[in-house]
Amino acid sequence: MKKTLNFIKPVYAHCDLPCGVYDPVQAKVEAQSVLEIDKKITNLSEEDKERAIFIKEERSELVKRHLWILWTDYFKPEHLEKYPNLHDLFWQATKQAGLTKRSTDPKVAEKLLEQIEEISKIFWETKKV
Amino acid sequence: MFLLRRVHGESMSPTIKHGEIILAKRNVNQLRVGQVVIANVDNRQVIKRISKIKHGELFLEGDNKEGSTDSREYGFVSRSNIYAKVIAVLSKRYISLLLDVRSSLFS
Repeated sequence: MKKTLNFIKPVYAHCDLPCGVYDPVQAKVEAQSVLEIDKKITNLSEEDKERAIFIKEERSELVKRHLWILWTDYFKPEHLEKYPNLHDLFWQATKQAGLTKRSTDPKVAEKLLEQIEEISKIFWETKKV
Repeated sequence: MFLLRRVHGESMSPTIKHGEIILAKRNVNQLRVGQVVIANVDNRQVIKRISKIKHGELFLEGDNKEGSTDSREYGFVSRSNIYAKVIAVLSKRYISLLLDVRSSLFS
């Protein structure tokens, strides 16, 4: 008989997934992809441009998702006390991620990367505590 | 009264890990800072440590600070929400014995 402990009720040591695994590099990689697509897009065939725009939309959305997860799941009230601009930083970065969908100007994606870099710096400072 | 619970999640790691079985006691008359408790929060039972007691209300935190949703998000918890006090994490030997007893009872 297969031994199982499922008959014992669960109690939740709740955390949001992935448990304790957060890294702004996820948002950064997607934003870099957006930037590289913006750099290449003017030299693409019409057919490839269509694919590039579709892929870029997906990547921009992933940037937003990774930023939201960091914002809502990792950062805690004590971080806000030390970095009072944190909410605004995330708000601006997710808005910028939305802008990258509407623009093929690499400068828009570059600004997004700068914002993610600023978030990343704060993130790693909080890890040192 | 005593009860067993199976821990789901890593917010009390490394003290109590995901999948471990804990033994708890329903008598919650005396609660103190440092105790690990089972609390009713948002319609489910969570396991956290009491880190502060203020005006009779409890501030609960997971030992795994980075991977825990706790009073830092949902605030102080009333004493009436405390369901049980955790008194032990069962070793593999006791779990094996428990499964053997259950198996013989229900076979």
